[in-house]
Amino acid sequence: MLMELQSVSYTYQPGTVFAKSALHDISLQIQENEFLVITGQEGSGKSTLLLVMAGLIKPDQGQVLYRGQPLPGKGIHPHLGLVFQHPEQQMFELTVGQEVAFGLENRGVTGKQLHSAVAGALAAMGLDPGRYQNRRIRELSTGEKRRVAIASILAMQPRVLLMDEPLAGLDFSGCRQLLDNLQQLRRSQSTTIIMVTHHIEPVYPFCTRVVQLKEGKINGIIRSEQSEPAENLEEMTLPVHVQLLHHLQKIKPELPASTSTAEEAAAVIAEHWEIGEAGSH
Amino acid sequence: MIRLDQVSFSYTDEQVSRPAVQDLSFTLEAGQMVVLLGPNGSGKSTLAWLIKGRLLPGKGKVIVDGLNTLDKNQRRQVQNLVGLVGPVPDHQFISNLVADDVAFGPQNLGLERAEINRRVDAALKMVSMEDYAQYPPYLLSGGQKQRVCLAGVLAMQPRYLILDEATSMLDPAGRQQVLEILAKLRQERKIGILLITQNLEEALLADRVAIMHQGRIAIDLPFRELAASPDLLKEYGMEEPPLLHMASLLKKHGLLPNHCFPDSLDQVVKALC
Repeated sequence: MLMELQSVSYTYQPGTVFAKSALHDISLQIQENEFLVITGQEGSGKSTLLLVMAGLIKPDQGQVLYRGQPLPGKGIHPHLGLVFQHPEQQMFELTVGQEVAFGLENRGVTGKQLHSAVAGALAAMGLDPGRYQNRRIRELSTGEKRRVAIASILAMQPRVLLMDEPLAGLDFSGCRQLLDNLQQLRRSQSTTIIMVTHHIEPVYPFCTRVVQLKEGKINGIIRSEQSEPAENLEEMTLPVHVQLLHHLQKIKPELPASTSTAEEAAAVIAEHWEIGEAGSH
Repeated sequence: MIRLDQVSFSYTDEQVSRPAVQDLSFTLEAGQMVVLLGPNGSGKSTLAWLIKGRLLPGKGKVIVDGLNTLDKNQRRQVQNLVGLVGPVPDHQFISNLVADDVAFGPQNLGLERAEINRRVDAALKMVSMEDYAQYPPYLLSGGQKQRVCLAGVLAMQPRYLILDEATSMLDPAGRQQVLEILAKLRQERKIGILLITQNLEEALLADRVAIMHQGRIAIDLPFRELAASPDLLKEYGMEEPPLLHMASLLKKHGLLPNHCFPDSLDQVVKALC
């Protein structure tokens, strides 16, 4: 097992009037090479959970294990890479190459090693290093900037990439491109991806599991290909095709609870639905 | 009414000029809601800033209720008439408490304290954040922050409201709630709304849907006409809304009649059963 959260709880500003319990008794196991999505309503604790997994917030109770060992008390584990919300607003270098190199330079990496790590990280995000390395960041589109920001984390070669709402504000092709790049990263480097998002529709075909939070607790978990009924899940944060399967399963229990894509859902519904049945009741 | 007449605007950077908006004409009437879609970099935010008077057209003119943004004095009035909520809430906070942040705009309008308080309370209530008035904004989630930013602009009581990707961090229920707020503002206060988004489903309540492409308005149609043309959407890099996509797939399998364009999942379930 790659990562394990054991009964993790966290309260912001404890003992003050602003005290707010953000996470309560969360236990979760994450396997190597998973693509885990964390979803839930606003304020349900998603971003806090991500920061706890990254080791930037120390839980009040419980602990986070990475490969069986507790996360370091200080700083971020070198195997973990964290992409904050709106990372493109947090860039400060002039060119793409300088931005992606920043973290590695601070680790003392220089010369050819630095150059090839930067080029590799850009390529992993679908940005041709020859074309992009010397480009000015402010000339890039939002989607390109977002991918540069993620490349600057990838340059540090994390084993686990933790991302907070990386799809917010991206257009359809930007979303698709980023998800394709992440999928490629999982295949080629076995990177584990943990993503907090409300944008469940585009990400669902790519992810392995969705963890739904509600008021700081795990409300339910669904695998993208799951046959048995999913209990407790709030529908609003699930893709439309999964919501539809959920409704239809009550009529035809042999239908699966989830398929990866809407296309697969339509095919499986058609298989179980006799033609002519629609509208005949 | 907001009217853009053949407006062009370019960003100039070290003598290199990059056109962002080209020869664009567009109108938005009071009480209307127009959803503006388009890929990243197509000029949507530039259009918003031109209407707000933060950017001035290189060619053409922007007229808001008869006021021209090129005129310095008139521009100040335009800036009060048009409320703009941006995509990154953290860029928009200036106070340590939610209530103070929402009060900042009305204070600068020179209003009485009682009126400011009344507006702050009403705006926070409208976005369901009244319980957080005495919270520091940094303790809020991304979606809650976006609601507070919206409240800050609502407290200014603008005649026109532009939301530039201002719902991108909201969950589906939150987005639905904001859409209901917008519908109410249109009906009760006749506010003209320009909603810039990547989410075509938000266009359901709009009078028109416009798609920007390379600095121009490529499409300006009622939602129904656009939603019924998935090929047109694809041509401009847009995706069919998930519910309509699901309906299209079921139609291909002969499970739904071709004339079915559902508004809700319940309608799909009913049509199937």
